[in-house]
Amino acid sequence: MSHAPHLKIISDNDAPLAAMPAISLKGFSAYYGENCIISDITLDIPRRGVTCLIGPSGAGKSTLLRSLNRINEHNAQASVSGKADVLGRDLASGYPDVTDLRRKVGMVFQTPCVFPRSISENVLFGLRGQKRPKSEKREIVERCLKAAALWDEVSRRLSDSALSLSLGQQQRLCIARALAMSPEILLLDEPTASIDPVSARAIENLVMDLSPQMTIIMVTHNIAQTKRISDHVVFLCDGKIVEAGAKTDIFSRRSLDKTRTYLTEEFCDC
Amino acid sequence: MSRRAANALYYGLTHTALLLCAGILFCLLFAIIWQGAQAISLEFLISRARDFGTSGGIGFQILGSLLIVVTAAIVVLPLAVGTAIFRQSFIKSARRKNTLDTILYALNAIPSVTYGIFGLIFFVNILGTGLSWFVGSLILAMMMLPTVTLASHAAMQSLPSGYAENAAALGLTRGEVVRRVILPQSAHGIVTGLLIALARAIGETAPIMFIATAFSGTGIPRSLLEPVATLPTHILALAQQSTNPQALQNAWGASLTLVAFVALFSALAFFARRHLTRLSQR
Repeated sequence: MSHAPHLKIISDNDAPLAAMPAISLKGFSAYYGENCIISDITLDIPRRGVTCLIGPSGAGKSTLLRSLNRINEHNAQASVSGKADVLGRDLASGYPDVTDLRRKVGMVFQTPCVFPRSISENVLFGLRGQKRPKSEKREIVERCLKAAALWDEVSRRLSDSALSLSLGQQQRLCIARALAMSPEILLLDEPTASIDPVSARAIENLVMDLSPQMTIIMVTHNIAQTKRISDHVVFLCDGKIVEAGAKTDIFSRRSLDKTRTYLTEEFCDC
Repeated sequence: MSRRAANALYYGLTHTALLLCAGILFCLLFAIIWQGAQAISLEFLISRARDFGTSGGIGFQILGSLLIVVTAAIVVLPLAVGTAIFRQSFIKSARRKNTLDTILYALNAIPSVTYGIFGLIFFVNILGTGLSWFVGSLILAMMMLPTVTLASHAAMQSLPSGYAENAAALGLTRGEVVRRVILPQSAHGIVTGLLIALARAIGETAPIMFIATAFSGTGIPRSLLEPVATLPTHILALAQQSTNPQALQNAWGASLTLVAFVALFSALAFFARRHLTRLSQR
């Protein structure tokens, strides 16, 4: 098994917090059955800001993302090895109740998936079962929809079916639903891949607005988008980290040849 | 053979098959309705049978049939839905899933008389329950189990995989995912499967003949351990007296009533599917 270099991302604007990363991986590998998808990676992701995971298809970006809130455990063949700390606690032993982890590490998937219920019920879906006064629920719905830049479009039809929304609106509703859980980390798996450019731009703005308050880790194939919204970039290829660092470094001439080739030609020969 | 001739042949053969099936069904229904309508009256539907069914009505037979199948439905529903949920959400190994599917398909293929014989040996002979409508319900529930389980599972499997994953990503436990996402969204399939199984069960004679019904002398049961009269066994008893025109007439009337119940359950299944599907996609 090859050993990737120890790569540490240093936040430009938050040096003390960088010492306590939101996520710390050491010799971390992920498998589907016998296939090693992520091989022995070491990486620290700082708190706050947007970290974009880029790389060609099959590089292991989504697998890495899905490992971070253990949603990959839904697949019987998925397994991981190595050390992974999330918010200072071990990914496995630190979260004996996986639902506790998932409330702290929210996730939004590539394809918008709203539940066939009203818009407000969708926002509150993760909070159902928790007894709260109606006024507080209304406040949560408003706050999360505003944070997801959807309030102005749906404030007059909160009881309408969420299925009546456009795909872009549905994706922002999925983000609002995740925000209602007050996560400390938000994982976004290609959230703009299946929506139109205008909606994609709305989500980009939303991600940038949220980034001072939480750690956002986003998988994307869109290099221009990475340049627009990321604070840090991790370039993965064939299950290994090729290069990771602050956006300014990755997009500068100082980056590795492989990275530059990928960023300019969107081609990777690893 | 040219392509056009092949198409015409294919069209002709498939339409002949369709007409043949529809024709047989139409003839059967026409005969039952035509003959049965002559026996049906309000008194026939509510009065008790007399003289081994050659006179009187089928009131207790209707009551017994409904009692036995509704109880079977109450027994089978949690078992079938529980099995389907376990198959869908908790078994990860493909091999175990296949084994469970094979068992369910095998149970579905067992002839109904075998269930009756099993009930006779196990409940009546070994446990000594005697003739009991509750035992009949248990046996019918066993017979309905694969149909309801497979229909429930098919409904659960047809849900977008994103539902369970998105709910889990919001921190819902597996139990909450089942209760809040899987069950409400697959209710249409569960109810449809149950009603189809009921439509089949209400017409079954063999499984309950030896263990749950008496051909005469039964009324409203006072306990779970008493036998009841049912429509299928009543029709069987009347058919054995077919040389008596009155018995034959009543057999047609009872058959029409039974077919009406099957049609009612099937229609309810159809409407439940449409209505609940629309509700779940609201």
